[in-house]
Amino acid sequence: MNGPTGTTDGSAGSPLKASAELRFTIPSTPAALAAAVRMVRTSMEWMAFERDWLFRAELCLQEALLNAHYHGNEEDGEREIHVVCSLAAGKVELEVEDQGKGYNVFECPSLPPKGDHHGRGLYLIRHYMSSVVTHGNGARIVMCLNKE
Amino acid sequence: MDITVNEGSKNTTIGLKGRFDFQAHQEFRRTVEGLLRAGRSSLTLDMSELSFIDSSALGMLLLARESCEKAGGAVVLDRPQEYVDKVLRLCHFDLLFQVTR
Repeated sequence: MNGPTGTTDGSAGSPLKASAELRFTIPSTPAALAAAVRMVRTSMEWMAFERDWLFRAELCLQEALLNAHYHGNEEDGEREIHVVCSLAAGKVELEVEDQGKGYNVFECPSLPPKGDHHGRGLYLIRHYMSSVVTHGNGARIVMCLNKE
Repeated sequence: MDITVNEGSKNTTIGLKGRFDFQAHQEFRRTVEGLLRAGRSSLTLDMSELSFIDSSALGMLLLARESCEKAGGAVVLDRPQEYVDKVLRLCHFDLLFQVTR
């Protein structure tokens, strides 16, 4: 579903001044991850967020969910991932929590060595989001996009 | 992601369309492995219709590059578009691959 053309502040168009909060719990499976990303993207499109914010939010949510599934929940489909997505004019907040032991987002290297196959997800998140915070034991990550 | 293969006399072009992410892992790997088995180790990845790429796809690109180089070939990334190109540059893939724009 495509919304009206967005403006440069990260949100605009119809429905004007709309806000939304999506909360869902998904099984830790690749198919559920993909569905969660689609749901958030569709909501952002409906709210007419600009393309740049759509890309940033989609990529970072997907990276956080991949980390939650592969590293947090260790690919255990019996475990769950909790997602909260708050959308408002000029602000997007994405929260992902898994049932693993957690990790410290700030201890990860800025960019893995050349040729290393893994480790770019957190780097991309830190680059594309305005702020990134982990809570508790690190199993919950909160990522924000703010209007500059 | 839709994958198409066009085998030329020297180079092989793999067309990638849509989202290149963790869900494309198996199909992409099978495609590259099949071409390598057929002796095609110089691969051009046509990214002109790729709208999205994530870190797992970046890992797949690196694996393909390693396999092709071991077989005496190389991987060229062809015409990545705006957002995909930004991710490639951000992760310094333009230093690891030949990128044609």
